[in-house]
Amino acid sequence: MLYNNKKDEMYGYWLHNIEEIGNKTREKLLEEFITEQELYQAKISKIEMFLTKQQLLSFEKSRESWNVEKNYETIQQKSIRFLSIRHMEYPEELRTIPDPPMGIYVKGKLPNSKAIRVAVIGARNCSNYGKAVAEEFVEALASKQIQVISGMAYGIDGISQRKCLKLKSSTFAVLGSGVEVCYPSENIDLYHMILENEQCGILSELPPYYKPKPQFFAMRNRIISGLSDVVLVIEAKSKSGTLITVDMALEQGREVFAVPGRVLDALSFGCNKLIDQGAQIAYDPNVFLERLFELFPDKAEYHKKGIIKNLHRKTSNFDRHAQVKNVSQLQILEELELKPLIVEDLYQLLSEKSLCESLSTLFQELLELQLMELIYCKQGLYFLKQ
Amino acid sequence: MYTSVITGSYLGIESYLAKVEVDSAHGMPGFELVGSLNHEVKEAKERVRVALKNTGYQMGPVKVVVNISPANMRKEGTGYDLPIAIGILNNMGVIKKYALENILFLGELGLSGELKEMNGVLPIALEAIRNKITLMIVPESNYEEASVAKGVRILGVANLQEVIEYLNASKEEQQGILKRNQNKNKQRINQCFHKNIQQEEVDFSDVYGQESIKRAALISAAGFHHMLMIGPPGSGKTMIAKRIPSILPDLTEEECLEVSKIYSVSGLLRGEKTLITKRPFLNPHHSISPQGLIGGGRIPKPGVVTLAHRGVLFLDELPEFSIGILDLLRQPLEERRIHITRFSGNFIYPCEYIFVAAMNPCVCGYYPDQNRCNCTKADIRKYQGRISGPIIDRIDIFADTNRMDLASLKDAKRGESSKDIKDQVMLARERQYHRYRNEHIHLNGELDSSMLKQYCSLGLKEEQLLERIYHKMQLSLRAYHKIIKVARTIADLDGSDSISCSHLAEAVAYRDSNSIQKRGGDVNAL
Repeated sequence: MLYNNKKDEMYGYWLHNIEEIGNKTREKLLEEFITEQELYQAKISKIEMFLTKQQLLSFEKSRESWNVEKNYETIQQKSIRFLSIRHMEYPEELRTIPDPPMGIYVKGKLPNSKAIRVAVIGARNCSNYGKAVAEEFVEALASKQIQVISGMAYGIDGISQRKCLKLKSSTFAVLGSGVEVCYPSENIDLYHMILENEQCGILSELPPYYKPKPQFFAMRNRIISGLSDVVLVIEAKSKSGTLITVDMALEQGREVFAVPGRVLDALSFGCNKLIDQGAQIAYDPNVFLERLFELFPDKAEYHKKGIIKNLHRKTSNFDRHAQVKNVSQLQILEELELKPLIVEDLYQLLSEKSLCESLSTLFQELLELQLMELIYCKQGLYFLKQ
Repeated sequence: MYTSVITGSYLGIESYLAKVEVDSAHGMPGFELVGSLNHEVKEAKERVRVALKNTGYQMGPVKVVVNISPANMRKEGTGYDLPIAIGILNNMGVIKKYALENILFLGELGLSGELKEMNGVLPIALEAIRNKITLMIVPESNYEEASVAKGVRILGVANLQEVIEYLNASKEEQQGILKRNQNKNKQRINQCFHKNIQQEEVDFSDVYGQESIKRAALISAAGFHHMLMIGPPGSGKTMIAKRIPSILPDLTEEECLEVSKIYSVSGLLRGEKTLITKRPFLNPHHSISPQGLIGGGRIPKPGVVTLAHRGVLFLDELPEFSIGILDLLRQPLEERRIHITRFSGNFIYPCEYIFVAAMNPCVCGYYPDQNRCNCTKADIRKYQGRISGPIIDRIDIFADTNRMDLASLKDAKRGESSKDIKDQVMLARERQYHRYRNEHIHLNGELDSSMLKQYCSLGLKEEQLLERIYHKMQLSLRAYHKIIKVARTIADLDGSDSISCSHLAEAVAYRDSNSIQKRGGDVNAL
């Protein structure tokens, strides 16, 4: 039996803030009492059997001291809502996953369950390639107003959510901290942008001011995959937190897509392995969109058919070469195509082909290419810009 | 009976002549020493008494009062033993009249009467020359050090008896003793000198590959630019730093004495090393204390920064040094000397060195190689953030080193020798000396922003290029100035009067491309 009124919300918030009582106990209690309000008014003798002595003490104390209305008022002032699993608006798809959160805090909007939701996740220390791929896929998703769910972390998470906001499509962040805490703090701009956007929201299972802890992130991951119809993995090393989300997704019966990568890059290993293990391959944003519509035909209606943008796929970097007229610069680009190099190696490779007289002429070519924004330098390594 | 004997001492690294006044009188037997003395100076009375007895001169029941003047200066060290003993002997009538005139005595006495090696002989010898002293009598083992200062005769003696013999000899005999002493010691010096020459020296040709960092080291040495090397472990950062002194111009005679003086008072001119002729290379461990770094003690001993004077100070694993320690380097880097204030006075020690530092880019050392580095952005920022901005500000050249793999190491040619590189440095430095002949600076690294306009004017084309770089790479004004300074040195190495685009392009490669200074910045732009 589900409720949908503010009074019950208040009691829900109370139940989730009793010390000593965890998710499992709450589940037991709610099975018995249906709503939190009933539980609040229940006689102690009826509750005793579900709790240990310590829990009982804490429960009693909280019933006496907790100001149900006033406390809920304070979080509402921060425009946070608390949705218990007994609440009507609690996301339906979360209710059915194993070990669902017994309640969830929402700042902003909830994902629209009529539309397709895709979790875009990947490495925090992503490569330039990963960044480019994430942006391409998000662009395709945004063109169809498909919602993107992610964790607002460094790397792929942040990049895809930023892109989403830029394209005025909706995105939702699930945090490993309370919704009032921005982690990582560098993403504070993203945090505010999400809140300013009317179609977006920030969610968390934890009380609003909880600081992030490592164990919270694994918990958070189950919500990311739980809220989504499909999980798209962009880049992951062999041991990556992203793969935890994938495990959760499989457990929850979500479809997993992985973007393939170059065999020699450590950041590709996780994705390529996922493909080997049976994940679907996301090799083209448009094909990915079609797959999504095939998988969810009932939801596809919701996304009005628009024009699908053609992908700018680079064929042997034709455009790039058009800008460069100098032979040695061309050679530099070709060498960097394979892997990032240091000046030393470039010098050796170029002088073998007698394309470079001295280090100082090479420096000049490299500077010219940097100013053209075709390459960039980091820690002595020269990278090709994607 | 009263006698006055000349001796010398030092305070900090400055030396002065002191007078030891000895009075022996009848009365209550005793031995008093006065004149603001440290405990080791006061202990001289026991050493002197026993040494005299064992040399064959019983002091007898007299009251001896010794005053060491100037009495208001704090006296340290054991060099007063010999002058006190000589004063007493003279009072006893053992020594010929007028034999002590214009002679400086210096030395620590052992109980048997032998003379022991002591610190600070070179600066005292230099001071003696200034005061027109004709002869210095020093312990035999200090002979070489004292003889480095030319202009005073030196007598190296093994024990007290030899001193008495010399003083009581006739003029002709004295000349003979001095000659013999000189010849004996000359032989020894020659032997040592040969040993020094044969000593193995590090050379840049030992470094295979790594051309770009060697080039950075060359620029750093030529223009007196401080340098920071960033790279994974095992990429040759330490190896290259150790070789930088070998490409700096040789010390001039004046500089040799200046550096040797510092080493002498620090007690580091012992044994075979009598004169510092090579540029110092100091490589302190990161657990160094503030006193160890800049100098410390009641009368401060020179610290590592002063010992590195005219040479290279190398800090390996820069982020491991505590922020407090690194901040102490600000004054030495800025003013090229260090002021230390103590109860005993203000001390100014010179410290003009090229500052070379090395660090890993992150804790594991492999950033930005994403196949190997597992550090998070926060980790990297935290690691690089341990270096304070003011230190980074004073570094002109940022060189990124990279690990050589075995295959490329095999292919690599033996590099240029230190001698060839040094010649390039000298040529470039000569151009700078000439350019700054009317200024108080000598080298490009010392240029400040007001002088940049005057001495580093750019052509129209270069100006435009630099402007493009400035906007595209979002440089700070400071970084902009550093690029011009380094480009000036590159042009000097090139033998060019004007800075060209290629010089600028190379200088750009040595900028702080990691933005260690800005740390953080745009975290999402990989």
